[in-house]
Amino acid sequence: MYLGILLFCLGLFFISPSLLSFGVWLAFFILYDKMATYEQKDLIRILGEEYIVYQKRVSKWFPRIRLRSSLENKLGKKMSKDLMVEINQDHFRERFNKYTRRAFQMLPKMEKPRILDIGCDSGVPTIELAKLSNGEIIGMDINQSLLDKLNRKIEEEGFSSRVKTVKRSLFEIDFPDESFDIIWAEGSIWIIGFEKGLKEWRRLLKPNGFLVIHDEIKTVSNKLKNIPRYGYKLISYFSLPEDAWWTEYCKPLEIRIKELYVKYKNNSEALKIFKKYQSEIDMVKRNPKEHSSAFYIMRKS
Amino acid sequence: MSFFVFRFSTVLVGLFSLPALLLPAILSLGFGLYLIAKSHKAVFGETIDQPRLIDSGVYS
Repeated sequence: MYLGILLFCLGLFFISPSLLSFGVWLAFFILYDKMATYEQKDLIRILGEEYIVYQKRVSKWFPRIRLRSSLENKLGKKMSKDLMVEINQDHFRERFNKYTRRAFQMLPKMEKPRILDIGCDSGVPTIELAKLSNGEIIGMDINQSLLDKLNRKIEEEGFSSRVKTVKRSLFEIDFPDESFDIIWAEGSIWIIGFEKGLKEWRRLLKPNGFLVIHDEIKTVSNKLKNIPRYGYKLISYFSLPEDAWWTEYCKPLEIRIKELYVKYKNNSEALKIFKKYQSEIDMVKRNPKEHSSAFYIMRKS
Repeated sequence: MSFFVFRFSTVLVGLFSLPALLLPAILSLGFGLYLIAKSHKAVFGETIDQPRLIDSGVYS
Protein backbone atom coordinates (compact mmCIF):
# COMPACT_ATOMS: atom_id res chain seq x y z
CA MET A 1 0.00 0.00 0.00
CA TYR A 2 2.70 2.47 1.04
CA LEU A 3 4.84 1.60 -1.98
CA GLY A 4 1.80 2.15 -4.21
CA ILE A 5 1.15 5.60 -2.72
CA LEU A 6 4.82 6.57 -3.05
CA LEU A 7 4.98 5.38 -6.65
CA PHE A 8 1.83 7.35 -7.43
CA CYS A 9 3.41 10.47 -5.92
CA LEU A 10 6.59 9.76 -7.91
CA GLY A 11 4.47 9.67 -11.06
CA LEU A 12 3.10 13.11 -10.18
CA PHE A 13 6.67 14.30 -9.65
CA PHE A 14 7.63 13.15 -13.15
CA ILE A 15 4.71 15.11 -14.61
CA SER A 16 5.80 18.31 -12.87
CA PRO A 17 9.41 17.96 -11.73
CA SER A 18 10.79 20.58 -9.39
CA LEU A 19 13.06 20.60 -6.37
CA LEU A 20 10.05 21.30 -4.17
CA SER A 21 8.00 18.34 -5.42
CA PHE A 22 11.06 16.08 -5.06
CA GLY A 23 11.56 17.37 -1.49
CA VAL A 24 7.92 16.65 -0.69
CA TRP A 25 8.21 13.14 -2.15
CA LEU A 26 11.38 12.49 -0.11
CA ALA A 27 9.64 13.69 3.06
CA PHE A 28 6.73 11.31 2.30
CA PHE A 29 9.17 8.44 1.81
CA ILE A 30 10.91 9.05 5.15
CA LEU A 31 7.55 9.35 6.91
CA TYR A 32 6.16 6.15 5.38
CA ASP A 33 9.39 4.28 6.10
CA LYS A 34 9.18 5.28 9.76
CA MET A 35 5.52 4.27 9.89
CA ALA A 36 6.29 0.88 8.30
CA THR A 37 9.13 0.24 10.77
CA TYR A 38 6.84 1.13 13.70
CA GLU A 39 4.10 -1.15 12.37
CA GLN A 40 6.55 -4.01 11.89
CA LYS A 41 7.48 -3.82 15.59
CA ASP A 42 3.80 -3.81 16.50
CA LEU A 43 3.11 -6.81 14.26
CA ILE A 44 5.97 -8.76 15.88
CA ARG A 45 4.32 -8.08 19.24
CA ILE A 46 0.88 -9.20 18.00
CA LEU A 47 1.74 -12.09 15.67
CA GLY A 48 5.12 -13.15 17.06
CA GLU A 49 7.34 -15.61 15.25
CA GLU A 50 4.81 -16.10 12.44
CA TYR A 51 5.50 -12.52 11.40
CA ILE A 52 9.28 -12.83 11.90
CA VAL A 53 9.37 -15.76 9.49
CA TYR A 54 7.18 -13.80 7.05
CA GLN A 55 9.45 -10.77 7.41
CA LYS A 56 12.45 -12.86 6.36
CA ARG A 57 10.60 -13.88 3.20
CA VAL A 58 9.00 -10.59 2.22
CA SER A 59 10.97 -7.36 2.44
CA LYS A 60 9.52 -4.09 3.72
CA TRP A 61 9.51 -2.21 0.43
CA PHE A 62 9.54 -4.76 -2.36
CA PRO A 63 6.39 -6.88 -2.81
CA ARG A 64 6.59 -10.19 -4.59
CA ILE A 65 4.42 -9.78 -7.65
CA ARG A 66 2.93 -12.99 -8.91
CA LEU A 67 0.92 -12.83 -12.08
CA ARG A 68 -1.32 -15.72 -11.20
CA SER A 69 -5.05 -16.03 -10.80
CA SER A 70 -6.61 -16.61 -7.39
CA LEU A 71 -7.60 -20.11 -8.53
CA GLU A 72 -3.96 -20.89 -9.29
CA ASN A 73 -3.04 -19.50 -5.85
CA LYS A 74 -5.59 -21.75 -4.19
CA LEU A 75 -4.37 -24.74 -6.18
CA GLY A 76 -0.79 -23.84 -5.25
CA LYS A 77 -1.65 -23.79 -1.55
CA LYS A 78 -3.50 -27.09 -1.81
CA MET A 79 -0.57 -28.59 -3.71
CA SER A 80 1.82 -27.35 -1.02
CA LYS A 81 -0.30 -29.00 1.69
CA ASP A 82 -0.56 -32.27 -0.24
CA LEU A 83 3.19 -32.33 -0.85
CA MET A 84 3.94 -31.64 2.80
CA VAL A 85 1.90 -34.73 3.65
CA GLU A 86 3.80 -36.70 1.01
CA ILE A 87 7.23 -35.47 2.11
CA ASN A 88 6.29 -36.21 5.74
CA GLN A 89 9.05 -34.21 7.44
CA ASP A 90 7.93 -35.50 10.83
CA HIS A 91 9.12 -38.97 9.83
CA PHE A 92 12.69 -37.60 9.56
CA ARG A 93 12.32 -35.36 12.61
CA GLU A 94 11.42 -38.45 14.67
CA ARG A 95 15.02 -39.64 14.27
CA PHE A 96 15.91 -36.97 16.83
CA ASN A 97 13.61 -38.47 19.45
CA LYS A 98 16.57 -40.41 20.82
CA TYR A 99 18.12 -37.08 21.87
CA THR A 100 14.84 -35.94 23.41
CA ARG A 101 14.79 -39.21 25.40
CA ARG A 102 18.42 -38.74 26.46
CA ALA A 103 17.70 -35.22 27.74
CA PHE A 104 14.54 -36.32 29.54
CA GLN A 105 16.38 -39.16 31.27
CA MET A 106 18.78 -36.61 32.77
CA LEU A 107 15.91 -35.15 34.81
CA PRO A 108 15.02 -36.69 38.17
CA LYS A 109 11.95 -38.95 38.22
CA MET A 110 8.80 -36.86 38.67
CA GLU A 111 5.25 -37.98 39.35
CA LYS A 112 2.81 -36.46 36.86
CA PRO A 113 4.88 -33.40 35.94
CA ARG A 114 3.20 -30.47 34.24
CA ILE A 115 5.16 -29.79 31.06
CA LEU A 116 5.00 -26.85 28.67
CA ASP A 117 6.42 -27.53 25.19
CA ILE A 118 7.18 -24.08 23.78
CA GLY A 119 7.13 -23.81 19.98
CA CYS A 120 5.95 -27.41 19.68
CA ASP A 121 5.49 -27.24 15.88
CA SER A 122 3.66 -30.41 14.76
CA GLY A 123 4.57 -31.99 18.09
CA VAL A 124 7.23 -34.63 17.43
CA PRO A 125 8.91 -33.96 20.83
CA THR A 126 5.50 -33.34 22.47
CA ILE A 127 4.30 -36.86 21.68
CA GLU A 128 7.66 -38.28 22.77
CA LEU A 129 7.36 -36.42 26.10
CA ALA A 130 3.88 -37.88 26.54
CA LYS A 131 5.36 -41.36 26.07
CA LEU A 132 8.25 -40.67 28.45
CA SER A 133 6.24 -39.15 31.29
CA ASN A 134 2.86 -39.67 32.86
CA GLY A 135 2.35 -35.95 33.18
CA GLU A 136 0.13 -33.29 31.71
CA ILE A 137 1.63 -31.68 28.63
CA ILE A 138 0.72 -28.45 26.89
CA GLY A 139 2.04 -27.98 23.34
CA MET A 140 2.23 -24.29 22.49
CA ASP A 141 2.69 -22.84 19.01
CA ILE A 142 1.45 -19.89 16.94
CA ASN A 143 0.69 -21.93 13.82
CA GLN A 144 -2.85 -23.34 13.95
CA SER A 145 -2.38 -25.79 11.06
CA LEU A 146 0.58 -27.38 12.88
CA LEU A 147 -1.45 -27.54 16.08
CA ASP A 148 -4.30 -29.21 14.16
CA LYS A 149 -1.80 -31.80 12.95
CA LEU A 150 -0.60 -32.34 16.51
CA ASN A 151 -4.20 -32.64 17.74
CA ARG A 152 -4.78 -35.46 15.24
CA LYS A 153 -1.64 -37.24 16.50
CA ILE A 154 -2.74 -36.80 20.13
CA GLU A 155 -6.05 -38.46 19.31
CA GLU A 156 -4.41 -41.29 17.34
CA GLU A 157 -1.95 -42.00 20.17
CA GLY A 158 -4.69 -41.87 22.82
CA PHE A 159 -3.19 -38.99 24.80
CA SER A 160 -6.26 -36.73 24.65
CA SER A 161 -6.76 -36.74 28.43
CA ARG A 162 -3.33 -35.32 29.26
CA VAL A 163 -1.89 -33.63 26.17
CA LYS A 164 -3.43 -30.33 25.07
CA THR A 165 -2.48 -27.68 22.56
CA VAL A 166 -2.57 -23.92 22.94
CA LYS A 167 -2.22 -21.34 20.17
CA ARG A 168 0.04 -18.68 21.58
CA SER A 169 2.94 -16.52 20.44
CA LEU A 170 6.31 -16.85 22.16
CA PHE A 171 6.08 -13.14 22.75
CA GLU A 172 2.82 -13.36 24.67
CA ILE A 173 3.00 -16.33 27.03
CA ASP A 174 0.35 -15.50 29.61
CA PHE A 175 0.35 -18.59 31.85
CA PRO A 176 0.36 -17.74 35.58
CA ASP A 177 3.67 -17.74 37.48
CA GLU A 178 5.01 -21.10 38.66
CA SER A 179 2.66 -23.14 36.45
CA PHE A 180 5.03 -25.83 35.20
CA ASP A 181 7.47 -28.44 36.50
CA ILE A 182 9.27 -28.62 33.16
CA ILE A 183 9.56 -26.25 30.24
CA TRP A 184 10.70 -27.93 27.04
CA ALA A 185 11.78 -25.94 23.96
CA GLU A 186 13.32 -27.59 20.92
CA GLY A 187 14.37 -25.26 18.15
CA SER A 188 12.27 -22.33 19.29
CA ILE A 189 14.28 -20.19 21.70
CA TRP A 190 16.23 -18.54 18.85
CA ILE A 191 13.08 -16.61 17.97
CA ILE A 192 13.27 -14.47 21.09
CA GLY A 193 16.95 -15.08 21.82
CA PHE A 194 18.60 -17.49 24.28
CA GLU A 195 19.15 -15.00 27.11
CA LYS A 196 15.71 -13.39 26.80
CA GLY A 197 14.06 -16.82 26.74
CA LEU A 198 15.87 -17.87 29.89
CA LYS A 199 14.89 -14.63 31.60
CA GLU A 200 11.21 -14.58 30.57
CA TRP A 201 10.40 -18.26 30.98
CA ARG A 202 11.84 -18.48 34.51
CA ARG A 203 8.66 -17.10 36.11
CA LEU A 204 6.62 -19.95 34.57
CA LEU A 205 8.61 -22.63 36.37
CA LYS A 206 7.70 -23.94 39.80
CA PRO A 207 10.51 -23.71 42.41
CA ASN A 208 13.25 -26.16 41.38
CA GLY A 209 11.49 -26.67 38.03
CA PHE A 210 13.47 -27.67 34.95
CA LEU A 211 14.14 -25.92 31.68
CA VAL A 212 15.31 -28.04 28.74
CA ILE A 213 16.47 -26.21 25.62
CA HIS A 214 17.52 -27.66 22.29
CA ASP A 215 19.29 -24.89 20.41
CA GLU A 216 22.03 -24.26 17.87
CA ILE A 217 25.57 -24.81 19.12
CA LYS A 218 26.86 -21.39 18.06
CA THR A 219 28.20 -19.24 20.93
CA VAL A 220 27.87 -22.20 23.28
CA SER A 221 30.46 -20.92 25.77
CA ASN A 222 28.56 -17.63 26.14
CA LYS A 223 25.30 -19.47 26.64
CA LEU A 224 26.77 -21.75 29.31
CA LYS A 225 28.31 -18.74 31.05
CA ASN A 226 24.99 -16.86 31.10
CA ILE A 227 22.87 -19.67 32.54
CA PRO A 228 23.59 -18.89 36.24
CA ARG A 229 23.17 -15.16 35.56
CA TYR A 230 19.49 -15.74 34.70
CA GLY A 231 18.71 -17.81 37.77
CA TYR A 232 19.35 -21.39 36.65
CA LYS A 233 21.78 -24.14 37.53
CA LEU A 234 23.15 -26.15 34.63
CA ILE A 235 22.36 -29.81 35.31
CA SER A 236 23.76 -31.20 32.11
CA TYR A 237 24.67 -30.32 28.58
CA PHE A 238 25.28 -32.45 25.53
CA SER A 239 25.79 -31.70 21.89
CA LEU A 240 24.43 -33.80 19.06
CA PRO A 241 26.97 -35.43 16.74
CA GLU A 242 28.44 -32.71 14.54
CA ASP A 243 26.86 -34.03 11.37
CA ALA A 244 23.56 -35.19 12.93
CA TRP A 245 21.39 -32.66 11.10
CA TRP A 246 22.93 -33.73 7.83
CA THR A 247 23.09 -37.50 8.21
CA GLU A 248 19.90 -38.02 10.21
CA TYR A 249 17.63 -35.35 8.79
CA CYS A 250 18.71 -33.49 5.65
CA LYS A 251 20.31 -36.38 3.77
CA PRO A 252 17.27 -38.70 4.00
CA LEU A 253 15.02 -35.72 3.31
CA GLU A 254 17.05 -34.95 0.19
CA ILE A 255 16.64 -38.55 -1.01
CA ARG A 256 12.88 -38.21 -0.48
CA ILE A 257 12.77 -34.89 -2.36
CA LYS A 258 14.70 -36.43 -5.27
CA GLU A 259 12.20 -39.29 -5.46
CA LEU A 260 9.38 -36.76 -5.58
CA TYR A 261 11.23 -34.69 -8.21
CA VAL A 262 10.91 -37.69 -10.55
CA LYS A 263 7.26 -38.22 -9.68
CA TYR A 264 6.30 -34.57 -10.20
CA LYS A 265 8.77 -33.68 -12.97
CA ASN A 266 5.98 -32.13 -15.10
CA ASN A 267 4.42 -30.13 -12.28
CA SER A 268 5.97 -26.64 -12.10
CA GLU A 269 4.24 -25.79 -8.80
CA ALA A 270 5.62 -28.89 -7.12
CA LEU A 271 9.09 -28.32 -8.55
CA LYS A 272 9.12 -24.80 -7.08
CA ILE A 273 8.31 -26.23 -3.64
CA PHE A 274 11.03 -28.89 -3.96
CA LYS A 275 13.53 -26.23 -4.99
CA LYS A 276 12.79 -24.34 -1.77
CA TYR A 277 13.36 -27.49 0.28
CA GLN A 278 16.54 -28.24 -1.65
CA SER A 279 18.01 -24.78 -1.04
CA GLU A 280 17.53 -25.29 2.72
CA ILE A 281 19.08 -28.75 2.51
CA ASP A 282 22.04 -27.34 0.55
CA MET A 283 22.76 -24.85 3.33
CA VAL A 284 23.29 -27.71 5.78
CA LYS A 285 25.06 -29.83 3.16
CA ARG A 286 27.67 -27.12 2.54
CA ASN A 287 28.64 -26.91 6.17
CA PRO A 288 27.05 -29.58 8.41
CA LYS A 289 29.12 -28.59 11.47
CA GLU A 290 27.80 -25.04 11.29
CA HIS A 291 24.27 -26.41 11.85
CA SER A 292 25.06 -28.56 14.85
CA SER A 293 22.89 -28.24 17.96
CA ALA A 294 22.93 -29.01 21.66
CA PHE A 295 20.66 -29.74 24.63
CA TYR A 296 20.91 -27.58 27.76
CA ILE A 297 19.28 -29.05 30.86
CA MET A 298 18.81 -26.50 33.64
CA ARG A 299 17.15 -26.23 37.02
CA LYS A 300 15.57 -23.07 38.39
CA SER A 301 17.69 -21.93 41.33
CA MET B 1 3.47 26.85 -9.00
CA SER B 2 6.85 25.88 -7.49
CA PHE B 3 8.52 28.68 -9.40
CA PHE B 4 5.95 31.48 -9.08
CA VAL B 5 4.43 30.78 -5.67
CA PHE B 6 7.11 29.05 -3.64
CA ARG B 7 10.07 30.56 -5.47
CA PHE B 8 11.62 27.11 -5.81
CA SER B 9 13.76 26.02 -8.71
CA THR B 10 12.00 24.28 -11.60
CA VAL B 11 15.32 23.66 -13.30
CA LEU B 12 14.53 19.95 -13.57
CA VAL B 13 11.76 20.66 -16.11
CA GLY B 14 14.33 22.03 -18.53
CA LEU B 15 16.64 19.05 -18.18
CA PHE B 16 14.25 16.48 -19.62
CA SER B 17 11.78 16.68 -22.46
CA LEU B 18 8.11 16.00 -21.78
CA PRO B 19 8.00 12.66 -23.65
CA ALA B 20 11.03 11.48 -21.65
CA LEU B 21 9.22 12.32 -18.42
CA LEU B 22 5.88 10.98 -19.55
CA LEU B 23 6.98 7.35 -19.80
CA PRO B 24 8.29 7.03 -16.20
CA ALA B 25 5.29 9.07 -15.05
CA ILE B 26 2.81 6.67 -16.67
CA LEU B 27 4.72 3.63 -15.39
CA SER B 28 4.91 4.99 -11.82
CA LEU B 29 1.28 6.09 -11.77
CA GLY B 30 0.09 2.83 -13.29
CA PHE B 31 2.14 0.52 -11.09
CA GLY B 32 1.38 2.67 -8.05
CA LEU B 33 -2.37 2.45 -8.67
CA TYR B 34 -2.08 -1.30 -9.29
CA LEU B 35 -0.34 -1.81 -5.93
CA ILE B 36 -2.83 0.41 -4.11
CA ALA B 37 -5.79 -1.49 -5.59
CA LYS B 38 -4.26 -4.93 -4.86
CA SER B 39 -3.25 -4.11 -1.29
CA HIS B 40 -6.58 -2.39 -0.59
CA LYS B 41 -8.40 -5.54 -1.72
CA ALA B 42 -6.12 -7.78 0.37
CA VAL B 43 -6.46 -5.67 3.54
CA PHE B 44 -10.09 -4.53 3.36
CA GLY B 45 -11.52 -7.22 1.05
CA GLU B 46 -12.79 -9.37 3.91
CA THR B 47 -13.82 -8.87 7.50
CA ILE B 48 -11.86 -10.93 10.01
CA ASP B 49 -12.52 -11.45 13.73
CA GLN B 50 -8.92 -11.54 14.92
CA PRO B 51 -5.71 -10.01 13.57
CA ARG B 52 -3.93 -12.44 11.31
CA LEU B 53 -1.11 -12.41 8.80
CA ILE B 54 -2.03 -11.60 5.19
CA ASP B 55 0.34 -13.65 3.09
CA SER B 56 -1.40 -13.76 -0.25
CA GLY B 57 -1.23 -11.67 -3.43
CA VAL B 58 1.22 -8.76 -3.25
CA TYR B 59 1.92 -9.73 0.36
CA SER B 60 2.98 -13.29 -0.46
